Amino acid sequence: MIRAEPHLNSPLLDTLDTGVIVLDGMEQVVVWNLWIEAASGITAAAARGLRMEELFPGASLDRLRRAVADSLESGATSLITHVLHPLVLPLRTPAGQELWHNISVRAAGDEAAALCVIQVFDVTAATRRERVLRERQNARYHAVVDSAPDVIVTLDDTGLIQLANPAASQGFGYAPGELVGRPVDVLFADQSEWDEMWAGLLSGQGRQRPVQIVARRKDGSPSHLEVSASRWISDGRSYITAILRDVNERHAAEHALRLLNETLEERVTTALAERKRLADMVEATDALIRL
Amino acid sequence: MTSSSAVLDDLELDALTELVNIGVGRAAASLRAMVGEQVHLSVPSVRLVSRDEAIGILDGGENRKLVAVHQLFQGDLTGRALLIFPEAKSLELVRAVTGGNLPLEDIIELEQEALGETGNIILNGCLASMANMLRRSLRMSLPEILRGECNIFFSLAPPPEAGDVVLLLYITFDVRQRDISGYVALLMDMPSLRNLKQLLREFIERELGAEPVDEHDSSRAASE
Repeated sequence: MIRAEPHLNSPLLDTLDTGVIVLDGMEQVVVWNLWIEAASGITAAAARGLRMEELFPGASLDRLRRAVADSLESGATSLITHVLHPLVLPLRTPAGQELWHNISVRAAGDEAAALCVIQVFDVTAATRRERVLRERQNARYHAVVDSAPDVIVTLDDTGLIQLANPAASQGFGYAPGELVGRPVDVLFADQSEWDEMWAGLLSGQGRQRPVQIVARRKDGSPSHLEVSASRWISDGRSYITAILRDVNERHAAEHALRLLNETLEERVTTALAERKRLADMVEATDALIRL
Repeated sequence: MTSSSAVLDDLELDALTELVNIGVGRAAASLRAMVGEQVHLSVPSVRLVSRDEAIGILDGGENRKLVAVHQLFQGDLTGRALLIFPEAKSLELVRAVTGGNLPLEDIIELEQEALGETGNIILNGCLASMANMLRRSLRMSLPEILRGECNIFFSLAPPPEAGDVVLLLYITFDVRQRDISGYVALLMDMPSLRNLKQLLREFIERELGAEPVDEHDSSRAASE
C-alpha cells in the first residue's frame, strides 16, 4: 500500500545536504529527497512504495532493518556509524567516489500512522582525513615499534596491557596479541622497583630513572630487564609506554664475574694458607738444622 | 531499604528486571549480528536508589573515571538513560566489538563512534522493553558520549524535577571471552516514576492473569 503523503514531501527537504528517507509503517518509502536521489542514482518516483531491501538488493542491511523495526515498534532512535558498519548503502559522491556515511534512524508520525525517518550523513571527507592520518601514523609506528629488538608495551592507567610489540610476545613466550588486555602483573609482579616507578609515573613525576627488574616469562622462567618508561596523555587519559631492554646476558656476565671474584678470594686464601704452611715448614726445618 | 525504594516494591522491580532482560536479549541479538560472534547480555538486578547512593555505587569511593553513553527519552516516561562503565573498560569494549587486532591508535580513534553505537543498541534494548510494555512509543535522542566522574553525569542541566531517584540496572556483557560489566542508570521525574509503577502493576496483573504463577519467572536470564 502506498499512502499519498503530499504534506511530507516538502521542497525544503530537497535543499538539504543530507539524505532523507521516510518509510511508512509497512517499511515502504514515502519520502526520498533529492540528496539521496543523487547519491543512490535512484529517482524518488522509482523509490516510492519500495522497501529498502528491494532498492538495495546487494547491500547488507541487517542493522538498518533492525533499527527501522525498533523505531516503528517502540520509537527507538538508532545511530549506525561507518566505524562499525562501513558503506551500508552503495552511495556515490557527485564525482563518483565511494560515499562514506553515518545513518540515524528515528520514529516520527503518531500512533495511527507510524513513520520512520532515515537520515544519511556524508562523512567521506572526515573519514578520508582520519584514514590518511592513521595510515601515516601507523606506518611510522610500525617502522619503529614492530621492528624494535627491545620489548615495548603500552599500559593504561589501571595497568592493563593495551599494546605489546612482537619483541614482547617473543621475549615472554606469548602468542601475538595474547598479552593485550591482560594486567601487566602477569609479566612483573612483586617488583618493588617497578611499583615505585609506576607510582612516580602516574603521579606525573616525569621521566623516571631506568631500573632493573626480574620479569616472568609465560613458562615461569625469570628474565632480567632494564625498564625505562614515560607517561603520555590522550583525550584526558594516561598511558604508560615502557621499553624493556634484555639484560640477561649482562646479568649472566655479572653473575659469572661475581662467581669468579668469590672463587678468587677462596683461591687466594688457599694459596696464602699453603704459603704459610711452607713457611712454617721452612722455619721448622731451620730450627731443626740449628739444633 | 531507603525511603525512595518505597516507590517501586520488590514485585514491581522483579517485573521490571524481567522486562529489561527481554530488551537486552534483543540488544544482544543485534550485537551478535554486528560482531559475528556470541554476545551475552544480562541484567541480574534492578535497584531503585537515591542519586547519592547511585554515585556511591558507581564511584566505588575512588573518584574513578567513568565513561557514559547518554540518551534522552520523552513521552509517558521522560528522563535520561545512561550506560556507564569504568573508563578503563571502554577500550576493551571497543576491542571486543571491532574484533581483529587493530593497533591501539586505531582503537582510540574509533572509540567515540563505536561506543556511541554499541551503547545506543543496549540503551534502546532497555528503553524499548519499557516502551513496549507501555504499548506506546518513546521519543529518544541520539547517543552522546560523556566522560568524567559520575557526579557530573547525575547533574546534567536541566535536572529532572524531583529527580533524586535513579533506577540502576547492573548489566554484564560477555563478548569474545571478555567479561565487561557496567550499569544502566535511568533518571526519571516523579510523574514518570508513578506512570512506570502503574504500568508495571498492569503488566503484572496481565501476566498473573494469563499464566500460572510458576511459569512467570522462567525467562529471567535473557541471552542470545
